[in-house]
Formats: sequence, C-alpha cells, structure tokens
Amino acid sequence: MRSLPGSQVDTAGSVHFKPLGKDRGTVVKVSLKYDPPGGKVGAAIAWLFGKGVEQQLDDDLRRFKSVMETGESPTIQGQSRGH
Amino acid sequence: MKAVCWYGKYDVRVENVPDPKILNPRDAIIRVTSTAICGSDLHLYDGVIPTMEKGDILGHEFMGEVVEVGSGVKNLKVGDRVVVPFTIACGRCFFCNRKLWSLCDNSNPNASMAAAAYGHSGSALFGYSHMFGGYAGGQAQYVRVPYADVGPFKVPDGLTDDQVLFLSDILPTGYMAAENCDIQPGDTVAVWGCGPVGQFAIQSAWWFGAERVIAIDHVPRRLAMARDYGKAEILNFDEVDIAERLIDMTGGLGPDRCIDAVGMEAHGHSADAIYDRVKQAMMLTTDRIHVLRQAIYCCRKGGTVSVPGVYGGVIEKMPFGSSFGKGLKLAMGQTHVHRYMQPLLEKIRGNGHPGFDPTYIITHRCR
Repeated sequence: MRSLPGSQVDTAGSVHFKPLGKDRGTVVKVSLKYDPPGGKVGAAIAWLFGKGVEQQLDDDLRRFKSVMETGESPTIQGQSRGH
Repeated sequence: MKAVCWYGKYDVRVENVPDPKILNPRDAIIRVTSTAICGSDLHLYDGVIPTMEKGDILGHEFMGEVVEVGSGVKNLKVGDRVVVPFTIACGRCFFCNRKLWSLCDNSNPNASMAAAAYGHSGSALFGYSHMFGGYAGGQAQYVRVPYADVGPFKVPDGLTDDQVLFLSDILPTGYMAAENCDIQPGDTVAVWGCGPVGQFAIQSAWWFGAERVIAIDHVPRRLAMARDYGKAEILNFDEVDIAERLIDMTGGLGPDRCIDAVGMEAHGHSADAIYDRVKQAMMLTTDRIHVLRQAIYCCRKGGTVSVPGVYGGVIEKMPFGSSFGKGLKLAMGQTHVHRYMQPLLEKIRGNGHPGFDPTYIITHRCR
C-alpha cells in the first residue's frame, strides 16, 4: 500500500497477518516506509520523527487489537473527574 | 454527584463532580452502596505513586446497584446488586482466557506507558493513577464500570454489603497470597503486615491447611485482631527481633511460607517516575523493601515467599543471593479477583455450615 498523492508525508508499507496457532491468536506485522517532511532539516531530526511514528503505530496497533478482541477501544475520555 | 478526588500529597477532597456516563457499549453505571479504603490507597494519599492528576477520583473497592447498562451488556440489568473487582478485565484476551484477569491485555488505554516501564502492561485498575488506566474510581456515588459483562459479580439476597464488599479486593488478595504459598501439611506460615490484606491472608493460610500461622506488625490493635480473629501467634517488631524469634519458634528451620502483606511503603517509600521518559526518569528505591528482605532472609530453605504487597518500581539491595542460595520460590502480583469471588462467596455463605464472617475487619465507618 502507499499514501495518496498530495499527502503531507509519503508513506508506503505492508500489513501481514499470521496465525500463531494453538490458541495464541494472530500476529499483525506492520512495515512502514516514510519520507519525513522538511527536506535536509527534516532528515537531521528524522530519528525523532521516527520515534513519533513508531509510538503512533504502537498505539494504533493496540487499539486495533482491542477492537478485534473486545469489540471496543478502552477509553476514559469523557469520564467524570474533579476540577 | 459527590466523589473523593485526589489533589496532591495528603490532599484529598470530597467534590461535586459530573455523574458518570456510558462511554463504551460494554459499560454499565453502578450506584455505589458501599466502598472501602485500601492500604494501597495510602500510597496515593502519600503522593508516592506517579502519574496521578489533580481531580482524579479515587477508590477501587466498591459495590452497588446497576442503574444503566450499555448496549453491549446482556447479562446485567438495572437493579442487579453487584460487587466489582478492582482489576479491570476484558474477558477475551490471551490472559483473561487463562484466568489471569489482572494481566488483561486490553483494559488499559495507557498500556504503552505501562509497557515502557514494565516491559508489558497489566490490566487497568479503578482509581489508581494514569499508568494503570486513569479510570475514575469507586469512592463516589456512581461509577462507570467498563467490560461490565465480565467484572461485576452478582450478589445474592440475604447477605449484607458488609459481608460481601471485600470480595472486590482484599479477601481475594489475602486468599491468593496464601494460595501462592502452596501450603503443605505441617507448614508454618509467617505473615508480615496485619492490615486487612494480612488479616485475610492469615485466615486463608488456615483454609489452605497451615499448621501454624505467625503474624508480624507493630500496631497493637492489628496484632490483637490477628490473635483474636486470625488465631495467629503474634510478634511486635517494635519489641522483638523478628528474625531471631522466627528461628526460635520454628526450631531453627524458619517459616516454610512467608507472606509480605506490606509492600512498598514498609517505612514510607520512594517513587519511580514512570511516565513517557522511563529510562531517564526511573529512580532507585532505597531500603523500602525491608519486609521483603526480612521475609527472604527468614524463610526456610526451599520455602516460598508470597508477595501480595504492592510494589511499583525498582529496588536496591535485594537479597537475591539469599533467594538463590536457599532455593526459594517467589510468587507475586495483582490479584486475579474474578477467579476467587465465587469460591469466597461460598465460604461466606457457608452452605449449611457456619459461614465465614469477614466483617471483623471493619474498624471505622464514614458516611
């Protein structure tokens, strides 16, 4: 898969699903290639940007797992609290 | 509604806050009829648990009446009377399927934060900081309970709130601590900490067939409770050298099974900052594992050290040489509450025999 033309960041990648068997579920492997924005300056801090992308991917994959296993994504947005 | 909210070290307030709402299809809303304070709440009060935010609602031991259910909840209806486990479990992941409910993969929306600190995230908890999900707790008039088709345990008529409230945490916690000891006939079990978890660990040790139970603390009222209700032999660590006495009392062998029902604040505590910048922010605790150290030291060779006491961070001066040299088994972790609620309810009910009455644990009430 690749990102649409005109996207802010060009990405390309793949998602693989592999059953683990023996009741252990399915592994979801995401491989993502991206061109960080900002040209040369962007490249210099690309590693930082990469950390952000990895974290985003981690969060997305956790949410995906939750939805697949439980039918919903855990949240506390909108819960009650003191001021 | 009114709720107990955290605002900082030694600063908790009863505030007027919005009523909780259904946020996910498997949620339910419970009207709280009884709730309790846990020993581990003291760590929050003492300001030593990181990732708390001002306004967080506290409380993880609660029960009450279902007042609303989400569209995804089929096994509960409005009016049902339930006790809610303090650990939040989805019921469908690898761990929940193996009855390891307190290790649920899915309930913690901040799982990546906990995983950064611990390697993997356990389940979320009610009212116990954002690293454990940040869920609003049950020291309030109403609570939103996620995965309400899994957690809430229906309570039969004829039992008072006082009798069943402790199924939410401390009775299963004491029970699992004793179960983890793998108590054999003839065993002496030593329990450090005579708070509510320790008291129920003492009782549970008898249920699992201990020959002797020795209870250690320094609060006279707690020791008296351990002696009078728990039928334990008691040791006050302000008055005697525990290691010496335990050796003496066991003919030189040491207790076969040792339960640390004290945890990270044995004498106060130092926190580990575990939020997002884990590798830089971790601080080493110093000398706060006094009880764990003593339990390891005193335990007989080939024995078991069972740890229901809460630990959060990284420790120093852990006598691992002693643990290894004596071939100890260490067992620990957050309670798999869901596993124990039915069997413990049966003990309370008695089923033709006198039931177990846990209400001796209650020393103070507030309204």
